[in-house]
Amino acid sequence: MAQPATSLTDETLFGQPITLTNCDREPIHIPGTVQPYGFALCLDEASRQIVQASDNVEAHVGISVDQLLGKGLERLLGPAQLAEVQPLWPTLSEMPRLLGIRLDYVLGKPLFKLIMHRHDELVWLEFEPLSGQEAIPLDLVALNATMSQMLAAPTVLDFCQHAVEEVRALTGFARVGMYRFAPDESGEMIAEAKRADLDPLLGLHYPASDIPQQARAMYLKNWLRFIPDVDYVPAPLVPVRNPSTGRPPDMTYSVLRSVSPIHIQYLKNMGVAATMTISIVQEGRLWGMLMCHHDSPRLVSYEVREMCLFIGKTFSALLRTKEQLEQRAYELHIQQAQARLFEQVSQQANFLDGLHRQPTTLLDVFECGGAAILFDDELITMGNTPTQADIRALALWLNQQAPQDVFHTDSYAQLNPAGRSLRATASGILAITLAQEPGDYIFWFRPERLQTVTWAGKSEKVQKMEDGQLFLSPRQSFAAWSQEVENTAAPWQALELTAANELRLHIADVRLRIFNELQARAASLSRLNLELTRSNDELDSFAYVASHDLKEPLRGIHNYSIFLLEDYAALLDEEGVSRLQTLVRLSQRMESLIDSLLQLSRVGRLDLEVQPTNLNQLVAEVRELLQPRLEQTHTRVEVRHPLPTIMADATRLSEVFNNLISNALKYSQKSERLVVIGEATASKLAARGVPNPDDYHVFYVQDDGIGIDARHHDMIFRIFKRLHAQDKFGGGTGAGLAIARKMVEKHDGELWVESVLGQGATFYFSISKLI
Amino acid sequence: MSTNSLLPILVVEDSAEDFLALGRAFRKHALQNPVLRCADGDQALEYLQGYGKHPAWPQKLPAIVLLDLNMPGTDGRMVLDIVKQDPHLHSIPVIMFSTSSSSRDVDDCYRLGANSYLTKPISYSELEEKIRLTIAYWLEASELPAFHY
Repeated sequence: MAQPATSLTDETLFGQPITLTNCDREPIHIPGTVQPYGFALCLDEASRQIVQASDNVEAHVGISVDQLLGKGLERLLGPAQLAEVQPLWPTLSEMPRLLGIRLDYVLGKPLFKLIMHRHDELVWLEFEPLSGQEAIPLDLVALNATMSQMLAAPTVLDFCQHAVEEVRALTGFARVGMYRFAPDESGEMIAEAKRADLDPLLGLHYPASDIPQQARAMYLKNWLRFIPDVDYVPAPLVPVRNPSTGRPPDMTYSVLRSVSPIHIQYLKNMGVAATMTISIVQEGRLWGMLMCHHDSPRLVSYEVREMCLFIGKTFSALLRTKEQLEQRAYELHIQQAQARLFEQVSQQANFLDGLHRQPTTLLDVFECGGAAILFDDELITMGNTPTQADIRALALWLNQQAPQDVFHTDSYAQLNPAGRSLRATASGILAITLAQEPGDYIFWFRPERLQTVTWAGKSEKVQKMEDGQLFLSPRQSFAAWSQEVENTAAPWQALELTAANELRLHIADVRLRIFNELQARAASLSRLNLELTRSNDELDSFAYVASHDLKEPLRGIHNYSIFLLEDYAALLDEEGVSRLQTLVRLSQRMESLIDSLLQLSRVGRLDLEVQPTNLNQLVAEVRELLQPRLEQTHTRVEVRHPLPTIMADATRLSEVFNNLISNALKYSQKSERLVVIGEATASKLAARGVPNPDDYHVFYVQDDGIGIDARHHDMIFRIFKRLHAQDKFGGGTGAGLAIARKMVEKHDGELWVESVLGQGATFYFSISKLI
Repeated sequence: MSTNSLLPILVVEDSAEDFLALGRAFRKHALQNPVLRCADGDQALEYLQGYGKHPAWPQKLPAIVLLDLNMPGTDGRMVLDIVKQDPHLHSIPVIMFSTSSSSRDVDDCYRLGANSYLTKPISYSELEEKIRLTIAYWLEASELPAFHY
């Protein structure tokens, strides 16, 4: 943009017809013509002789070009005017200087404005006639008010709005708009002041190609362009080439410079008859333009144009501050949202909850369409996002890229063709990693900008052929541009990336803290576990010692009762004898209770002897062992399907089967009883919420006995817990199921019952395949 | 009846009640041998290692020892270990007599050289039966090592 205009254009095109194919190389700085509302004279710097003049000079002042060429200014100006002009010679530069000049020698044209500058080895004198109804332009009070408003504007948009309104008030143009360039050089109308009957252009976007590069370069040098009537007939300089250089003079700083025919056509297509544009320049870059349009020819005095230029320059100077203010406001917004998020994250037990469940979410931090958290394979989405599958695919794609803490793109589709289908929600992506290993991310999504843009010139024809000539309209360039910005979102700003990284670091901090806490907790858990193991061991040895020590006095009681019965039976009456017998019976029962306790404590203490165990064989052996009781109770034991051979402690497993079958034949009042043994499917475990049901064998022992009320289903596994009186259903200590359960638990399995009172019971137990 | 009947039987038992029950069972089966009782392990070792030295003590080693496992102080396990490592004593049959039926206890005792292991039953009739069997086996059926006093 800062390159000299000549490098962008092709001077060999001078004087040739400008078409669609060569307009981007059109040498607009050397049109060789002026707009005819004024006339121009070019003087040789050294001789101060007129070497070129626009051919409309005669129409304006009645003196032909021929009469002027080779002459000094005396031909046009009287001594008084010359005295005013001549002292300015040495001070002239590219910056135009204005003088009010009376052309003494021309009748009926009493006053012209003379605008002078020096460029390309020539002194340029451009004359604009004074229009009759010109008001005094410099209204300091109004200007002061405008400046105050502009200074006070809180946002860039407000700032622009004040500027366009002021320029419209000053110039009376039907429409004044502020046109802002994006980094891709496309433009957007961001502020507008207009006559009520005009259609608004506010919010419309214009493709970058609407303004060719060489025009942009020129706009950086000459900040104001003015075309009072687009239907003008250009007045050529005569001669067209500077006689001393032999080439057409550079008219970059010329006020009257004639513009490109393509541009004129463009304006006509828009229905514009007069236009003035003022460059808004920021740090050497074309930030935007103040555009003034009128639907009929409109001559604005040079002074008013200067005033507008002043506003434009002031605007340019203030813009940085305004943008910084706005940026600062956005930064503040981000910081506040961030601070709230940080607080939420720290307060929630699960840091993820702090990012999406609370009043402030990830969506509030940046301007974005949607956000998502992918953590530990869990995906949480907010706002407008791609589908879950698409986000997971995106994460996989990111995993394969070079690792980076903060990833961002404003065009995902350009990096990954798969991104094209996501452009409606995720053309722009900002992602932060949540873990050292790739896979956990927070995403922010921005939609494709195309989706949010209203295009200028939408309803106009693309191009039209007229008398064999091609005419351009803004619509023509739209097609080219829409392709260019397809799949592209508003770019992520540096401060957004910084904030995203801060968020990442904070979450990493929180996670590290949680991790440390977890580790501390794990350490204390393992300590507890150790203590528990120790106290378990102690409990077991307590049970062992206690049972042992309990037995000794018990034996004494028993023995002495026996001795009493044997030695003193003759001295006792029948009741005395019966009570002693009860004492003996109770001591025996006490012994079996103690034995059960011992057995249970032993199951807990002993290690399993795991070996391949054929369950068909094992069950057959148990059956044989129980045969007398099976016959006694008329019980039939059926094994459904062959049982597998599994890894288990055969001895303990037969005790489990023994216990369950014994129970099955015990708790029944039927004369004929049936016990069914079989293997159940893993779905039984799945239904109980066991995480990996396929890692277990599940077996069952089913009876047709009295059944168990659901409220007792847990109780029956407690040691010494009986549901029935001791003398019913063959007695027993009530430790059998507790012992069986402990044996199953030793195999990392579970023992449980399903039963309805009166309808039999089915005991299930699982045995881990991994022991 | 073999010559074993002439030798004493040593019962090491801290519980007076258990010893009383044992004595009753011995009488029931008309045991001829004198029965000596030590109430703890230290006493038992003092007698076994020092027999013949103290005039008040029996001058003969016992035919068999019935040794309670769990006793205060020097317990049956330690007595067994010392006896079985003593070249003068190790051939004396030692019959462990304990409340514990724990396989660990049983295994430990045999490993230390016990010649038999009996659990003390609660039921007196069972005790009587075990004592009957023990007398029949060790004192009637078996030949015991001949000690050269």
